[in-house]
Amino acid sequence: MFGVSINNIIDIDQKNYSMEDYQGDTPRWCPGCGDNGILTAAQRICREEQLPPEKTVFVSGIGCSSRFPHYMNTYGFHGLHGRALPIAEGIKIRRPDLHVFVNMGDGDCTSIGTAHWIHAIRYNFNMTVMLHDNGIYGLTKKQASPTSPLGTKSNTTPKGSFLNPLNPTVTTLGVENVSFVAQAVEWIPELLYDIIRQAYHHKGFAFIRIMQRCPHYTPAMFDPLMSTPENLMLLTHKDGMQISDPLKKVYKNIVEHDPSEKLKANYYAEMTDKMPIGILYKNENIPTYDGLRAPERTVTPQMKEEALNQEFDKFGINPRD
Amino acid sequence: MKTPDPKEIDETKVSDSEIDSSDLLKELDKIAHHFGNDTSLEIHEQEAPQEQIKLHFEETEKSEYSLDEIKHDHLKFHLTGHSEHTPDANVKDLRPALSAPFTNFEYIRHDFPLLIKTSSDNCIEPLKDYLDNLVEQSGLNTDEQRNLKLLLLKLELILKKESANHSALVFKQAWDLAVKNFWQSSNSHKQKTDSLKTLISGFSDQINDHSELISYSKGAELTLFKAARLKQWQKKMAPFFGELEDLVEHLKNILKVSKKTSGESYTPDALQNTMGQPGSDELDFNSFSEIVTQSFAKESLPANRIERIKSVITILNRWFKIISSMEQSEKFLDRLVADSTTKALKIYKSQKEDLIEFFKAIRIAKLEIEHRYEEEKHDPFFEDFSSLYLSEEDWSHFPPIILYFKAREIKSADKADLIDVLASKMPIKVLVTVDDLYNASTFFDESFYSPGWSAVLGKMALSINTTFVLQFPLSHMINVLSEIEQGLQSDRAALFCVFDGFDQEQEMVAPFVRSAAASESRAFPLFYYNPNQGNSWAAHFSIAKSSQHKSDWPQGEIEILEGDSVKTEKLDFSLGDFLTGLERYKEHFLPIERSEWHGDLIPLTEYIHSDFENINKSIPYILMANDEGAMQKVIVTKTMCRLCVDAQIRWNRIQELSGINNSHVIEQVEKEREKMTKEMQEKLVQAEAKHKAEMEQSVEGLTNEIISNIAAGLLSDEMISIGSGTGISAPQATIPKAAPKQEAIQDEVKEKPEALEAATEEEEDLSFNDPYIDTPLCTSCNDCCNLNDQMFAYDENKQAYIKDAKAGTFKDLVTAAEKCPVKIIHPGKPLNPDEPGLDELIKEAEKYN
Ligand SMILES: Cc1ncc(C[n+]2csc(CCOP(=O)(O)OP(=O)(O)O)c2C)c(N)n1
Ligand code: SF4
Ligand code: SF4
Ligand SMILES: [Mg+2]
Repeated sequence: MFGVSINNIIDIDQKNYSMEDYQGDTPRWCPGCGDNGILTAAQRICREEQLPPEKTVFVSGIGCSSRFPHYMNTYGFHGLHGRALPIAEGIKIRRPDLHVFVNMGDGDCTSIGTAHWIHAIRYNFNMTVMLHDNGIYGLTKKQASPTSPLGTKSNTTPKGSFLNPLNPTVTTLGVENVSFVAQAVEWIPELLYDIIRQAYHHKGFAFIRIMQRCPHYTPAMFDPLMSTPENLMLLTHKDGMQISDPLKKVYKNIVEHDPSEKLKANYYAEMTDKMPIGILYKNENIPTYDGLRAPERTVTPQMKEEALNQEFDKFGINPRD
Repeated sequence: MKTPDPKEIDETKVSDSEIDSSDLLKELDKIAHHFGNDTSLEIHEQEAPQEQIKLHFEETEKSEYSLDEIKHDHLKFHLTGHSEHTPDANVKDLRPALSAPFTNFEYIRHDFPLLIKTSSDNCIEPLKDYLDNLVEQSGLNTDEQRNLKLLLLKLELILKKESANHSALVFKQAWDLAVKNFWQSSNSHKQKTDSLKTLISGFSDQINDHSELISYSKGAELTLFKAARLKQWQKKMAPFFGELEDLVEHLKNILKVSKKTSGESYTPDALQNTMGQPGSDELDFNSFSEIVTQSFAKESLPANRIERIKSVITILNRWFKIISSMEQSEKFLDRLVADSTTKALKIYKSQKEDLIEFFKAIRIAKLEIEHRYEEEKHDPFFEDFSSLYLSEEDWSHFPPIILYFKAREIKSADKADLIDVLASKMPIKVLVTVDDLYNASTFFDESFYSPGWSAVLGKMALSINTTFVLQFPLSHMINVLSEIEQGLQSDRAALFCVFDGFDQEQEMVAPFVRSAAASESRAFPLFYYNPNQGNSWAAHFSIAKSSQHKSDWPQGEIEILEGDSVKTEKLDFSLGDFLTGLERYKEHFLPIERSEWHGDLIPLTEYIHSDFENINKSIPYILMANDEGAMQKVIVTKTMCRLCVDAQIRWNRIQELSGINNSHVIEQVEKEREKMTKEMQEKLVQAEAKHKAEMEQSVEGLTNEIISNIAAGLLSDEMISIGSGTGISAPQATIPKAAPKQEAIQDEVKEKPEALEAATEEEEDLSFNDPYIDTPLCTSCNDCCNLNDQMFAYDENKQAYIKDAKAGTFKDLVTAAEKCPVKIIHPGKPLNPDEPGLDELIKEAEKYN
């Protein structure tokens, strides 16, 4: 502000962060769990963007995937089941200077947390939101979730699930003020990284549904996608996901999709025979809640406390009166 | 003065004023007529504007001298300044005919008095505009609007009279007083004025206490400059308002938190206090204190840091206070006015220190708030903190220092220093009131003709080239307000030369008119030079706001009453007209009666445009008028004519600077024209010659060709075998076919990837024996690393690669390949042929290679 850039003058202060700087506890996910790949991608985006760990927060709910903040060496909030988003919103509105990331499971986001999810899309807070969709409740040992494919056998659906699954990208695209929707698979690191990177740079609520393998409970769920690369439809565009040449050799089902086209985004999101991967929709012009409601003045906790006390004093009863 | 060209009218406020004045009169007439006998809204007798002077020629008695005697005497005066005949009028009692309409000046609406409204966006505004806006925004119907307008015009007159006696008035007081006077003296019908009264009192409520009314008076320029500076600086500093508040709040919070966690709040007493009365006997506060102290109390902040934060808070608070209100800023800026270069420099130095301290404090504050201040690193840095550490943007917050003086009062030493100051990068804004225009004390006789030191100061400063310069008559203040703002805003020194027309006691012409006249007569041209604008003279320099800037002298129109009819006449306004009002030049003007006019008299400007040094038959005159409007021709001496020529030369050179009649351009254009004409002629001659030669050659060549073609055609095989006609297409066979070429390119494109793939396959074949991982595809699942962390490791992107194939068995490799969820580990061939169970493993490894 006003040309007073302390960083320009005192650059001896500037740091270079490496991957290790973002690595927290050793992950305790099952061997081969897809959450690992998402963790690596998240750490990489922090490193590439050189986000100061003390200015970065990862917020989660409850679930296997929600252990995420423990494994990041940034600030974190391992919240309540389904309540990652309200917590993240609280952080963002008070500390708009922080980089806020949210990690949720499919149960967390699309089941118990649905109400928060819908409204968070409409609020359009500036944050990066990752939905780890393994199609199952992992932490509680295999119960069907809203995204479980039809016929999924689980502890709650021993004869196979009987409802068509909910498609989180379709739902998100249907909510007012939606500003960024993407779909990724965790086992193609390059694309996962590119999508998270663009989500991070998006000014608004950037929602990514990440297909995540749970080798422990649903080992075969993504076999059709993994064994037949053509089943993935890669959406690319100059404003969308970027694909490297070597990758194009493996994944040949590539289509151009301009993420500013909402109707086409809906069309791809609703696709069932192929799994579209890439940035479905992006609109930078939706105002963000934190932008609209940014406080004009600093309010320190001290000032708040004083104001509250003043308010309480009005109702205070003096025992001696 | 009326100007003939409507386009030019806007350029001079004087003409505006004149239009306004006649408008006003018409308006008043109309309204008085409209209300008939109702006197309620008529202007009071003592306020009624006097009749406008009607210019006319007065018949006089026949002269006692013969025509020859008259002519001889006129010529003598022209050449020597001495006349043997006693003049019938004194030039002191006359005014230039063009300025006659401005005689009853107080009734003429012009830019003054000005309103300074520090709280509004257009902070300097003519009172008349303000009042007109009130009418426009009143939302009344046309009829009511006229009532209101008339009333406001009367109020304006009262306000003008009030302000004329003061250089500055608090507007609210002046207004309230004017309103009170008005209602007291108006004996109007109650119903008629009730609604107006409510309106007026509504206006009164809107006026805030800070507005000031500035009359056209000595020193008004300083008041106005200060107001413009205040407004500008306030705006510049406004963003700091929130920022400083934030910084201080954050810093205070650090200190507060430090105190809270310092243990002070965990003493038994403090704890007991927090509990209040009830329940206080049930707790042992000593042990409570021990427990909380052990578990909560942290060290308080180091004393150094507290000290540093406190001192930063003090500095920031000081600045916060300065910019927090208009009054504080004004008080602060008021100190930044000097009347000598020495003082200005002193102020500059201390101001610079202040500014450095301010930005230093901001930087420390930011570091402190982020807890990034490290003493060993930052102490020396801030120890060393100087102006070099400030950015351009920081510098732009330097409050402009005004160095204000009157030209006559400046000391010789200061004159020399002034150039240094002007050439410097210090934001010292030099404001010079020119009071020696053609009126300087002289060293010796010859300098009698000098226009004065300060009158040429502006033009001299142009040669510095990096300094902002604005020269303007005070009457045009509003006209050049944006230029004044630019000058104040520039981060360097700037020069403003202003002429206010108060240079001498002038009874005939109001100072406002004199000031404008100085500019119109080219005695004190209006120009400005802004080095921050563009990159050439054309972009920097402008005289466009000067009246009729393209001509030598501006021209006006007068109306002359002849019997019952009015005729108009065009007159130039020259330096001569301007100087008629000055005591020291009065010897150069001789008014002559109508009976002594003759054919050798010609207007001054016409005379000086002729070769008057060599042909001296004519005698130049200026038209002037007395209080009754009777016009006289006033003969001018040759010396005066030379002064006028000098002024015109100076003006013409200024015009050239702004690109008007630029002599280089004219010369160059002439040269180019000559050159081009010559070239064209030469080319024409050459072309003709060439054409002729070619014609001759081609006739010869063509003949030969035709003959040989006929011969070849007759002799060709085709001609012989096929016969005539088809031979014409023969040469086309040699043109290459375009289509196949394109196809070839496309084929190449198609082939390329396959070829590349083949190449890569070959490469892969080569390294088939060594184990490897498709690292970019690794999902960091840990499986391989968990199996053997010597053999497998992660790269800088946390993706696996084979760190050391020899660090484990072939079995390890195959197992990892089996486990790898994305199947990207390729075990290759065993390195150790003695490893047990190889056959099985090699078979298994095939799947992954
Ligand atoms: C309010 C509440 N209800 C239920 C639970 C039990 N619970 C814990 S995790 C979980 C579901 C986890 O599934 P998901 O969100 O998909 O995460 P995953 O483990 O698959 O990553 C449930 C129902 C809880 N912890 N809190
Ligand atoms: S149960 Fe599934 S989702 Fe949870 S850690 Fe294990 S593999 Fe990952
Ligand atoms: S087993 Fe495969 S995916 Fe997992 S870390 Fe090793 S190479 Fe990467
Ligand atoms: Mg799940």
